[in-house]
Amino acid sequence: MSVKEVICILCPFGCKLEVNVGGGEVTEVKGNRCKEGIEYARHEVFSPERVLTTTMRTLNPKAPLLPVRSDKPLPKGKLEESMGVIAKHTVSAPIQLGDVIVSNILNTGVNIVASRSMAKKS
Amino acid sequence: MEERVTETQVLIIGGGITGTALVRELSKYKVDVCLVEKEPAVGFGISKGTQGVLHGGLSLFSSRLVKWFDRSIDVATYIKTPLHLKEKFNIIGRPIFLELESKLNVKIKKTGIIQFAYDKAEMRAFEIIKEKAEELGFTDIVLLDRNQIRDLEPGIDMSKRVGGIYDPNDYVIVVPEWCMAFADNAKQNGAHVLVNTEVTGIEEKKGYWLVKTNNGPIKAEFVINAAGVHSDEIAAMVEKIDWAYVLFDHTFFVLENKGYLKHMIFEMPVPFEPCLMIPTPDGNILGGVTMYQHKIEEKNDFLTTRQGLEHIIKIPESFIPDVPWRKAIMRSFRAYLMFNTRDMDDMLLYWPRERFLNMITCAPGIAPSAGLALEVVKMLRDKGLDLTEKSDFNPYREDPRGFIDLPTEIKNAKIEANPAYGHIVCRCEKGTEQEVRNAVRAGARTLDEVKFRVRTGMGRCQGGFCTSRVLQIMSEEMGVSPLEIKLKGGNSYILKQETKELRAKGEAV
Amino acid sequence: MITKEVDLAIIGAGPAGMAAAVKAKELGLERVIVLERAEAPGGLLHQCIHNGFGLHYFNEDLTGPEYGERFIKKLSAMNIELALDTMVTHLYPDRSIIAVNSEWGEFKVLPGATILAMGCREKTRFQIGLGIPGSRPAGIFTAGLAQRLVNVDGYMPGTEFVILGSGDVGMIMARRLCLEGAKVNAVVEFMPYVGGLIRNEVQCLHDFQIPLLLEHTISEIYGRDRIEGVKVAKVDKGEIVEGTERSISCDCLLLSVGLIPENELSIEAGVQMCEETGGPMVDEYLQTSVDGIFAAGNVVQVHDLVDNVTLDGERAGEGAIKYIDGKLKKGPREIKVLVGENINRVTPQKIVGPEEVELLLRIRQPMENVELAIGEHFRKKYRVLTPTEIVKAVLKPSDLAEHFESGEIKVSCRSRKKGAGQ
Repeated sequence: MSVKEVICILCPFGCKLEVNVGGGEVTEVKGNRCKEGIEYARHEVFSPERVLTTTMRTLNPKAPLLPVRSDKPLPKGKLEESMGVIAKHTVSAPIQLGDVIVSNILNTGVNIVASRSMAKKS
Repeated sequence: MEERVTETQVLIIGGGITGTALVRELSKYKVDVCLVEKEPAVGFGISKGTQGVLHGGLSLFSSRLVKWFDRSIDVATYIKTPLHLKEKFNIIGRPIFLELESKLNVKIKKTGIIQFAYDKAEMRAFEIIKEKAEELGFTDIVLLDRNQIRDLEPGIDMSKRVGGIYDPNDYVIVVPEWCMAFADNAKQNGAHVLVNTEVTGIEEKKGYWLVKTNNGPIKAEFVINAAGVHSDEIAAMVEKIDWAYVLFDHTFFVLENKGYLKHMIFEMPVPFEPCLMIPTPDGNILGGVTMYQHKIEEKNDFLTTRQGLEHIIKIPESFIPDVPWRKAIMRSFRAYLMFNTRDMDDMLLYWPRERFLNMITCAPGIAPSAGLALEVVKMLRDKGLDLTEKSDFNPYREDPRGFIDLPTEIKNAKIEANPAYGHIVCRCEKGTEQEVRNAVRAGARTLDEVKFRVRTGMGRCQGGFCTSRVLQIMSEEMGVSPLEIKLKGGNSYILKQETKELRAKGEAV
Repeated sequence: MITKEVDLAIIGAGPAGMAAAVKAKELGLERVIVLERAEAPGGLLHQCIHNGFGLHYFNEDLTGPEYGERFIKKLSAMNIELALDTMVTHLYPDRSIIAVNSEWGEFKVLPGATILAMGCREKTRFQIGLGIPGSRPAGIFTAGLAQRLVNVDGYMPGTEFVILGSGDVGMIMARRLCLEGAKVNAVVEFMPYVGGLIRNEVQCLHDFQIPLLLEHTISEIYGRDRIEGVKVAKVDKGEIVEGTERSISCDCLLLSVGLIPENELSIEAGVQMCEETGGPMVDEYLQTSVDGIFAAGNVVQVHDLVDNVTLDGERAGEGAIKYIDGKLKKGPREIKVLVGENINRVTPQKIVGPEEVELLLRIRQPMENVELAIGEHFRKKYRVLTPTEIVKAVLKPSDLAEHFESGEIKVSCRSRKKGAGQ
């Protein structure tokens, strides 16, 4: 049995939730003002996820970075390693918004896609 | 682009207003002259933080009042004492600045000056000043009553001020711009100006001086010490000096001027705290106390303090109460004035050694620099330096900026020939890409120097929009990565590393 | 000089300007030109590479560039003239414009209507109180400039940061810097509560264990040529508490301390300004006090969501067309909108037409169990409101009718529970 503290981000109240965890399950949530908070707490305790947005180096000196994003939320614990993977990539034009640049990063089932189109410059 | 100089006839140490005025003057003659400056640009030492007043008849004597007027000495007697050296050179030097404005394309703003009196005793002191000034040819000075002052400056709170004295002929410059203009013009005419060059030692040899710098030694026939606040350190390299510098500091706000003030205004309601508001050539206002009585120990102590800022904002609030000055703040800075202990009233000009000249300047030092330059040329000639005038001396320097103020036809012709003039990179001050390029080509290597030449970064947003663009242009012109560009001297790199560098190396802080 | 006669001139191709241009074209306006000082349209969307955009307007969670690209694509598809690297240098009371670029030199634009969409600039260290005292070294950046350097130009301005201001920009940058491998030693916030969304507090600060110092300020900057650190101090009721100063080392300080609508051109054109918003006084069509000059987006007031900025731009585009067609309806009188209890600011500041009006407002401090009261009739309750969000209130003609008589309508709100704001 353990108690985890989670701040709910679903609305400006920002309820500070006390989440009791036991046997791999959420047994109780305290401090919430609505029921959506309970579901959020469960998700955040067991599988916290974050959308990763960052940049990737390009070969174009006039536009040295391309904004990229994960097409789905990544497990929170994989963010730093993903950044390392992305840092080792470079892209070159032409790129369309949504193009997959890194497929199934770190075997998470999440792709890193282009967040912007980049035309080939003459 | 950095040249190496190993030998010269006249070596000037210090690229402030004194040194640069002198190097330009010497560049009129067929003599090899070299100026060394330890900062990355001329005008970046004590000249950077000055208020920029070109003193005239009234303000010249106000300077006397500033230092000694504690209302216990006989003002009349003090005013009537003979002119100090710095005052003599000031009177000679100021008309030279006025004449050079159009030749060197640097701004001078005519602000006049109004000084306020709080009681009859001050008004009487003003009468004596007026007499003395008239003797010296400054005949436009008038005494004013409350209403007359209100006519000139409607915003001023005259409730406690009884009257004042007005000189319509007072002027303001931005000193680093003039240092750069003098140095540019000197270089055009063959003088050497070496920045990032610091003097580390001086040795007297047979028939010449060996001046050691961080970029190698320079042999010189004559050495001129114009090192501003460091001139005591330089002087101490050749003699045991019997004087030291005393520094008085000032803190100033740079305030927006939305028509709030036309004239320079000045008063000293509390002894030894001369308060000043100056409309600058760039359309702003400098407001603060021009010198505090207390001395500061550390020469590099340019730190503003909370107490200092809280004290100084009251100056504009006291002068013109109806303006929301706290919302008009663009910048604040602190700098200082210096005086030497051998003569707290005056500068020192002497040869501690054969062919080594000390120019130990003090405040005011701006207008005197042009007068001093003429004097030093005479002194060098008297010491046997052969000074023949060049027939091809070019007194003109192109305007480093001001593109946006040109008439439309000229603008468009220039843009047609050079599209980089059509690309404005500074939203606030309207500096163009080409002017930034020109600044680098004229020798600017730091963001601050580009700022003083082109005014990028000096406006309301203080570089928020232009910094990214100016760095890019500088990087292209200098052929270096933006990572190598500094803000000013020392270790002031603007950027640290490339995005991704830490992650790519597998590192994190 | 080249003179361009157009139906509509828009100053700024950020989200407000683009939305206005697209809407005007959609409604049939022929000659629309957008004048943009940067090298590409999109304004700040380019550098806002994080997500959270478009949740309302598109019902999707987009990054800034993704959001921007939707409008940029429309600009080219709809034949809207886009002048880039173009700086407007003058705006006159007759709506005419002088601008400069490399292609046309200094040129004139004569529009049927003009929309101001210049956005904001950032407050500098010199504008926080009387200015942060100390040295003036390299290594101090506003958060927006740092964002541009990191995300567009490709340079980190430091490796160890302190961030002043816990607004969303500051927090987002904190995360960004940590993701890139830098360290953020503290986020310093003057108020007793965070300045941005809770989501950002969690995902930008907690996730990265960045200390958030509430009710603190930076009392000094030190470091001669390059910043070496800051001194932070506790504040109580806005004053520094003596003896609480301590040093935090850093090689870079980011300032996220406020935005100032960029209205120099507006003032030149004689547009009447509103002190609370820092922007022009506008009516519900977003027309300013000068005939035919409209304003939209951050130049009117600092917005919270780009979705709202887009809606603003569309509204201004619609208003401009109505103006050009001579159709701007005016009611029997104008209603002045007054800022009342607990309200920070409201737009529009003036209501002219008898149609439905949407007010945008911000409250002064976080409040729970809030009742918003507008005029005699409009009442709405909220569980919680914070000053970081723009609250919208739609007033029907029936809410407005009698206020045309008095010429005024007051906006205020009260909390029905003691505690966080009364």
